[in-house]
Amino acid sequence: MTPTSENGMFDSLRLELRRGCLIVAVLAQLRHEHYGYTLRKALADEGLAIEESTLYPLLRRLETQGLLESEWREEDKRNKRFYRLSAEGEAILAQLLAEWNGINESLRKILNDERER
Amino acid sequence: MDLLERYLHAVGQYLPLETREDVLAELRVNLLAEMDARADAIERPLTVSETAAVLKEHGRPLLVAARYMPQRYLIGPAVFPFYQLTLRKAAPLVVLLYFVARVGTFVFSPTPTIFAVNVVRSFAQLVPVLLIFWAAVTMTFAILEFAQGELGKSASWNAWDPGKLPPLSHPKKEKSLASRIADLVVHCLWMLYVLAIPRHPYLILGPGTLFLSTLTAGFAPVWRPFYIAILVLLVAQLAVKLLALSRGQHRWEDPLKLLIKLLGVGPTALLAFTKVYFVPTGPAANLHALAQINYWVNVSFRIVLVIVVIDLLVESWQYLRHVVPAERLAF
Repeated sequence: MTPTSENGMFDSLRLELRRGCLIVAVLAQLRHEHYGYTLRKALADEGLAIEESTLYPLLRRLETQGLLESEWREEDKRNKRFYRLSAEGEAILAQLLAEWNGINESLRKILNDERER
Repeated sequence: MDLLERYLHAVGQYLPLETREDVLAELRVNLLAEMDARADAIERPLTVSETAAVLKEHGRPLLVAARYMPQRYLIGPAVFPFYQLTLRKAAPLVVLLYFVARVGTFVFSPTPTIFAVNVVRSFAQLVPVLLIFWAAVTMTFAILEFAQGELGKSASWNAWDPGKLPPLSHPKKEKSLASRIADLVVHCLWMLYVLAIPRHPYLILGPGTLFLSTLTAGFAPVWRPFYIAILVLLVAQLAVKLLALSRGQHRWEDPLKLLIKLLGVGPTALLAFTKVYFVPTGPAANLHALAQINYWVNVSFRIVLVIVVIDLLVESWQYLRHVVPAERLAF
């Protein structure tokens, strides 16, 4: 396998791995209120950079699904749309985090078993 | 900021009216915040080209707008595997049924048609048949998707028995040399038998020879090309059996057998489309009885042709499914 095709495969697998994690990260980050730009910045500061064209439509979709709530409010002389986790979103986030921890724990065990062999 | 407004206008052209203003207002404030942050970092206002870079990074207006649209699909991810499975399982059956129907129509058609023309026509008409089949399955699943969003979770779709999974196929074991020699000897004896038939017709007709002589009837000319075709086939089979004697030729056995079977359709078709098999040999011939015999022999050969073609299709399918990867045979 050439390095280019190896990189291409890695990029595609990485994208797949990140896709599901991003929703969990967005929900988790929105336990505190944010508008689009500051949310993107907060995620990037935590090491989870996400494209604007992906994040902003995602916020609307999560709101349509009832996982987020939003309101327009003025801040620094600009009208901004602030998002936060809804009650339903909180319940879903708790379930997703439990799932995430389960996967994480299983992976940790698998990797430890491999190391011990 | 003119550039930003132009960009937002371009995005807005692709957004639905009911959400356009809201989405654009949100986009505007987010993009402005991004531009402000960049301007703060370089401690001066952004130039036009730097603003353009921010917008370019954000994405082409059409694609940006598309991401705000609801996801549209005929068949969603939950139903799609079942749709694919249905196409894969049903397509070979449709092809088989189609050919059986075509052969039946051809064989029992009251008006005679040319065999080669029928073959070409059958393959040409298979394309629209498959397209109609695909469209019908797609439409059915699209309706199911629309009516039942949770189809993928329904019990009937997920109900399957792992115990009914087909066993793993093992590669066919090569016949022993003794068995291959015995096969060759039997074939040679069979050829001798066939070669003896023209001089001793009772070998194939048995007491029927006596019956024919009482009717004052004999063989029609059609038997001659048929007999030659049978001899050619027997020689071809002999060649395959001789080839089978040398080791390592095992892989050619099945395709060659299939080819011979395909060639065998020709002589059968020749007889199926002939009307006269036995002709009077004297003035005392019972013409009515002869006509009856010719009619029923013709019906028998037509039935045999249908069976031969179905057998050929089934064997071809069985061979191809092991040779050609599944994804190339299915949709």
